[in-house]
Amino acid sequence: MSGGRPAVVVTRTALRQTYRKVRESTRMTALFLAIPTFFAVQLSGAVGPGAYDVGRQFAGGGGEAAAERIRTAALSGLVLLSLMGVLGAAGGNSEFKDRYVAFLTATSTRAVAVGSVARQTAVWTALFWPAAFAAAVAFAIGAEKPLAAVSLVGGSLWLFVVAGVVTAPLGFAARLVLDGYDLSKNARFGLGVCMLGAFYLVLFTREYVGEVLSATPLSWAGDLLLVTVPGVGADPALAAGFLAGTLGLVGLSLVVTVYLAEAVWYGDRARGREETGDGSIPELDDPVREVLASVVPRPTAALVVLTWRRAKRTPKMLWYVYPAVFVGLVMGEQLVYSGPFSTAMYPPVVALSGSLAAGSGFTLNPLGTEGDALPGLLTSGVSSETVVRSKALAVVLPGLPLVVGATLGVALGVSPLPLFVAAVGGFALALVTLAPLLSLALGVHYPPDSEGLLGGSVEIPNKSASVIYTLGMVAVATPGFGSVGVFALSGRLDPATLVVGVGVTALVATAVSLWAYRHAVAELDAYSVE
Amino acid sequence: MAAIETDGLTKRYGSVAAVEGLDLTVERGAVYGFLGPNGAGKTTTMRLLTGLTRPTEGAATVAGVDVRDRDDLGAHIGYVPDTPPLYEKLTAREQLSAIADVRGLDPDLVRERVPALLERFELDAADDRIETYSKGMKQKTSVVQAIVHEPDVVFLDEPTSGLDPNAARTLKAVLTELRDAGTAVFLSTHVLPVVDELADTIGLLYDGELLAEDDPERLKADLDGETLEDAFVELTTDSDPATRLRERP
Repeated sequence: MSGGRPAVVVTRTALRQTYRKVRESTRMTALFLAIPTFFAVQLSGAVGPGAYDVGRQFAGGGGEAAAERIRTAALSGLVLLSLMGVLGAAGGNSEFKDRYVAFLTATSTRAVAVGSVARQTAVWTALFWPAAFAAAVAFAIGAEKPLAAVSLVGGSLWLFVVAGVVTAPLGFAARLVLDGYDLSKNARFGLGVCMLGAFYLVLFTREYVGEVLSATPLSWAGDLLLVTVPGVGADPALAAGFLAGTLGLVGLSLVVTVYLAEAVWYGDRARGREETGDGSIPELDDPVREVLASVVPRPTAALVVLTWRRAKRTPKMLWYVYPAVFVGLVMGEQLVYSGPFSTAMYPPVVALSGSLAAGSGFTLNPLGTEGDALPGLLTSGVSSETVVRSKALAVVLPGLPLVVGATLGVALGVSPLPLFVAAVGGFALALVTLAPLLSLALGVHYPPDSEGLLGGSVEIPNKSASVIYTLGMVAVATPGFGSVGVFALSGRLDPATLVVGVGVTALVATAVSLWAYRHAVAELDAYSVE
Repeated sequence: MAAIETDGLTKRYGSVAAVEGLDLTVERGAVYGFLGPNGAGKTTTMRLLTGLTRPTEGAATVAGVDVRDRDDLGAHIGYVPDTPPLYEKLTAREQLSAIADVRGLDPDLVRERVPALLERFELDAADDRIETYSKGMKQKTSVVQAIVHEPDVVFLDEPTSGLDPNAARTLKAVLTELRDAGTAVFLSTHVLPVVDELADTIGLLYDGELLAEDDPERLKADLDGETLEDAFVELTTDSDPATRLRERP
């Protein structure tokens, strides 16, 4: 093969594999349909204000204001896409060597690198661009200007492609730096969390970001989007300039990607070794395990310590824990800081997001996180009860004091009424106990090969498991959360409302916890490698 | 009581039978060589016998325990699957210690046996993380993990894969010792000289069915082969192996 054909073959093969993986999984198919549909409905204005309303504003004579909103949205959207792209590239394409090893031994690194970038760009464009497409069409319908859809559709597609390709080398560069400095896994993950924080910061300050960037050539993206929208002053020359400039950037990014891919894929990677400090051989005895074994059966203690040790050495395993914490920050910002609720809303937010985080780690895929070791564990004679208990204990032992303690601490700080403090404490206790059991009951339905790959060989639970688990937790939490909300909104503590609301949540959580434990054990008992 | 006993053991995936009506008996203190071409159903059989996969039909006991009773079964078996069942982020010593604890082994026994086995298999890097190991080192760890509790039956799926000659020799010596001590060894491998050297009985699986079962010498003689490899090739390249076997004297 010569020229660009190998890259096309790599892209086609990788996309075919992704497509079949999605198609053959009902959950994945549902997710791939649900995500674009959700965003399309929101952005287009099918539910709440959206592009259609901006179009109506345009049709009603507010053309300039409508165009300004589109320009601002385009700029902040471009920044968000870039941040998402860097995150995706750092964790995905840059570690794709293992997946592409057959290609790397058959064709050039250039072809494989370009193919992997094309695959990543195609996948996320398929996931998120339909929302932009729907918004463009909705605007054109609202504005009664069909021609407007042409540049909005084409321009937005180009923005997705540019964001996907241009961020690819940043991902490789991040990987190169991380490996070069041999940072610990926790430090690496901390950097990832910082990126996620930057993402949320831009999300909340998108209007401001749009204003700042409007003074830069990036604002020409607005001209590209609006070039076929009549009467809004879009400059075709600037649109062409943006197109040419980003085309050059895409080419340059591909060149840099190939260079960095060679450095990352073929460089010496730091690998973990146990440091004993003085060179002595570590003892088989583990003090934590010994203490635990004095209160729970030894096999349970061994599995708890094993789980902690593996999680400590592979913090990425806890991938979904961190977004759950961010959900808490977002809830606090939306409900209290920018919203109508008083600070009395903070304790249930801490309890809910903390509990969500606690159950979002390894218990979401108890079989998959065992990896290759699963047959060894299952043939060791350990009972399903022991496995389920140990996984739940591994979460509850650190999670319960943290979540309940933080909730009580915040509650005492914002409203030290005894009934309120006791209620939110009970609310936290019920949820943090429920969290690992609910995620275990759900997780045992996911076979070991259903998890997602998060760079290298690090696997995380399936996205749909996280979504269903989150919805389940929110459903159970709603009565208690709502009853505190009544207090936080009115400022008047109605003991009956608070007790009933939190009581319902506690009762349901207890019932679901019991059911979840039994269900997880029964499913694990019946588990068969197929 | 036999170490392994199956009666019409069957596993079907939809309409495809991976294992069909398997009847076999393996005595205690015997090495059973389980042969067959790729896709014959050997790994599925091992998974059935170790409780990892549920049978569609039929019954099987290992060390007198029903294979459907995975919790009880575990105490009696050791399993070396084709992919070493190890936690990459642990060291070999941590791995072996953890699984021994999970098995409920006496901590004093663990302190005694683990270092001895590590030394025997020359696992010098026992305190490095398993992710840094070569295939052979992982395989050694996997073997030690499977025998540290001195089980009644050991199942080994391609155990010599990745082992250097020294380690392969050590493994053969250990398996012989286990057999002599009364452990049944169920050995599946494509390295036929190993089976020829160790096995007391050979079972030949083809398309999920047990076509032949005999001691190595008789099997070679019946199939007119000088070596086990000749006999294997003769049998499995025949257009109709079942007919070929039925014609056996």
